[in-house]
Amino acid sequence: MNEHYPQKCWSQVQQGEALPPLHFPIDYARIILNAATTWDYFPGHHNPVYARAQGQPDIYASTIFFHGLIDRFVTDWGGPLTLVRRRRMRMVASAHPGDTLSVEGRIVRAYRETELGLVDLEITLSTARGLCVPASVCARLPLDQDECPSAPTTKTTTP
Amino acid sequence: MNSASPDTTDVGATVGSYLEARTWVGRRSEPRPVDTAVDESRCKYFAALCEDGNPAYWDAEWARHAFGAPLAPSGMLMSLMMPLPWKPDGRSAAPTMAIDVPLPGRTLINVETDCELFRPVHWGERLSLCEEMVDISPEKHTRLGRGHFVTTRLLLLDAAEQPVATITNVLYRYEAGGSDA
Repeated sequence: MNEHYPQKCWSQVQQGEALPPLHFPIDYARIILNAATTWDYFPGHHNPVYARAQGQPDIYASTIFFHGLIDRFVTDWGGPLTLVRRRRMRMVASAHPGDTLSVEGRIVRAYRETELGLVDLEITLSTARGLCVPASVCARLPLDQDECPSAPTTKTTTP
Repeated sequence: MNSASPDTTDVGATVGSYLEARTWVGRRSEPRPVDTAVDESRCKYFAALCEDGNPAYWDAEWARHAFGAPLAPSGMLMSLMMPLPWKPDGRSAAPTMAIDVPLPGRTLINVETDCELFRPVHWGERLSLCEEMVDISPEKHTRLGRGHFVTTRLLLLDAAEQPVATITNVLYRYEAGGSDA
C-alpha cells in the first residue's frame, strides 16, 4: 500500500457508496484558461458576442473541461492508481462565469472482470439553475493492497 | 434570445445540404499525427485547469514507480484532436469532420461524449488520430435553433499504431435563432 498518497482498493468499496462532493467555481479566467489549456478556441468559449448569438447567455465551459473535472472527482475519491476506463456524459445545460459546479456521485456497481476490480459510478454536475451534465464512469481500482506499489520516497504531500 | 447569426468565419463550418452530408456517413479520415507530443507542460496546465492534484501528473518520481512514467490526465485526451491555430505552411486542419461536413447549420455546440480509455497515456508519447463519420440525424428543432446531430468517432493511436482511446462525440450543427421547442 502506498503510505503517502491515499488509495482505495476495490475490496474496500461498497455499492451505493457516495463520493465526497466537489464544488468548483467558474469565472471568466477559468473559461479562458479552459480554451488555452485544451487548445479549443471555438468562439463560444472566449467571445461573449458569439456565445450570445448562439443563444447562450455568455461564454461557456467546454466539453473537455467537464471530462477533466469528472475524472478529477473520481481520482480524488479513489486515489492516483484509479484509472478511468470509460466515461459517458451529456451536456444538458452550459456552465457560465459566475456559476459554481457541484459534482456529486455514487457507486452503482462494484464487480470483477477477470482480475480487474471495477466500479460503475453515476455522477452529476449541477449549477444553481439545475442539472448541467449527467455522466457515468467505469473506473478500475487496485483489487487489494497487494496491488498498490510502495512509495519510492518519503514524501508526505497528499493530493 | 439574440437571433443574429454568429460570424461563421470564426468557425469555418462548411455549408451545404443534408443530402450532401449523408454521403459522408461511413467516411473515415487518414490517420494524422497529433501536432505535438503529449508533453509535461500541456499535462500540468490541464491539471491546473481542473485543480487536479493527482500525483500521476505532478510527482514524476512516484508516477515512474507506479506507471512507468508520468501520465497525461485522462480528461485531456480529447484536446489532442485540436490543431495548432497556425502553422508556417498556413494550413491548420479542422479539429473534426463535424465541422467539415456540409450542413445548413453554421454554428455548433457539443452535446454528448462516450470515451473508452484502453490504457493511460504517458508524457512524451506521440499519438496519431483518425476519425469516422458515424451518423447525421435528420433536421431537428431545439431551443437553440434548427440543425442536425452529427456523430463522429475519434480513434487515438500510439506510435505502434495500437489504440489508446476512442471518443464517440455527438455535436449539434445548427442555425441560431430557433423555436423554443
